[in-house]
Amino acid sequence: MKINIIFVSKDLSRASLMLEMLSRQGYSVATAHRAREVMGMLAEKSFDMVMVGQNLADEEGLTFLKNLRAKNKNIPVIAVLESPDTLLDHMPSGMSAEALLPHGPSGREAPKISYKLAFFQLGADEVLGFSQDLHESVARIRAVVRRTVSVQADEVLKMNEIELNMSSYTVRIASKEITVTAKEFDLLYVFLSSPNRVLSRPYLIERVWGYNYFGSPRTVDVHVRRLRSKMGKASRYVHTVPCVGYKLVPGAKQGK
Amino acid sequence: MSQKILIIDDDAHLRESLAEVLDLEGFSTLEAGNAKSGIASAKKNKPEVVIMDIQLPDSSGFQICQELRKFSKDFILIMMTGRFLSAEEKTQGLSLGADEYITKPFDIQELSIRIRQLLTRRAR
Repeated sequence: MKINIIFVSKDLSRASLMLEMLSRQGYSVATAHRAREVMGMLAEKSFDMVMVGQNLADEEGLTFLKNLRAKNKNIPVIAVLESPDTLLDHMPSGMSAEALLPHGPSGREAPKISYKLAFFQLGADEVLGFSQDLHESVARIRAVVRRTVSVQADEVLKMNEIELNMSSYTVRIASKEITVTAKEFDLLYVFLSSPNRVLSRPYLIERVWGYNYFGSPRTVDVHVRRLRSKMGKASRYVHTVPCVGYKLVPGAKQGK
Repeated sequence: MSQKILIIDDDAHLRESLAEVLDLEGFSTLEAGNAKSGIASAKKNKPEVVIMDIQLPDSSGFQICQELRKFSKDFILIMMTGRFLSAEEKTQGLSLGADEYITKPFDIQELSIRIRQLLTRRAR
């Protein structure tokens, strides 16, 4: 399944190598310069992760993280910094020393804490440095995905006679393996992960094709049609919701 | 109930001092001096966090990492190293299921913040 990331930083050119590497690894990355843009994007679309630089065009990365965590405690956040071990030389706006070091000195003076620890304290899941080896950075990003994405790679998702094996990428229906394409597999994964929930075409596009996909939402219909034809009798679980999209109904009776 | 941290290291002095500090931080610590007893303790006690040395007398850290992850993916695994690790080694460990690396001597405040942050994420 596509992992959709927002990368926000004042200087995106500094992150060009990392962005290139992420896209080669199959991640879908949208970029932003300002905190306000990110909040809008998060309200509009479903993203799996936010990556934040030390500074944004309109505020500091630490202030951004504090505000983001006040609204959203769950989304994984990775900070990407120039020098993670540098000590804070000032207090970021809207922040107190207690927020960064609860047992340290209080007041407006910046506590003796590195940017890396300050980001961790405010709720970052990982802190990377630009000078870090890119392969190590990607391995750390994958580790965050492993810890935070609800389904582990080797889990088997089951619903009635449908079995989806995430490690072998195989689908079995009534114990018989069926051959599906990668996109059909991802579609079925999204369906099985959200039973009884109406999944709109734009949502399915985001989850399966990624945020940067600009094709027609009708692509979803073509893939669902093919998937249904491969599912045989089990296709009865995939219901069409007129004008919206699809819904997986586990209790759907045969013959309906 | 306090969260359990298992420390696997053949250096008894380091193990004990680390356990002492983590106990003061409110964790409940368990200790093991080699890979075999560490794996047995992890299986029996199901700690929330395992901190282990990458070079143990009876096994390499990567092997234990694989062994531990075979029976559970739920705990946080932090690897300690006394030497410089290449990016390839770190990448290998992370791919095998490690969550973090720390290099000895390490800052206990940094370790504590990192453990708490990883535990917070695990609880969400």
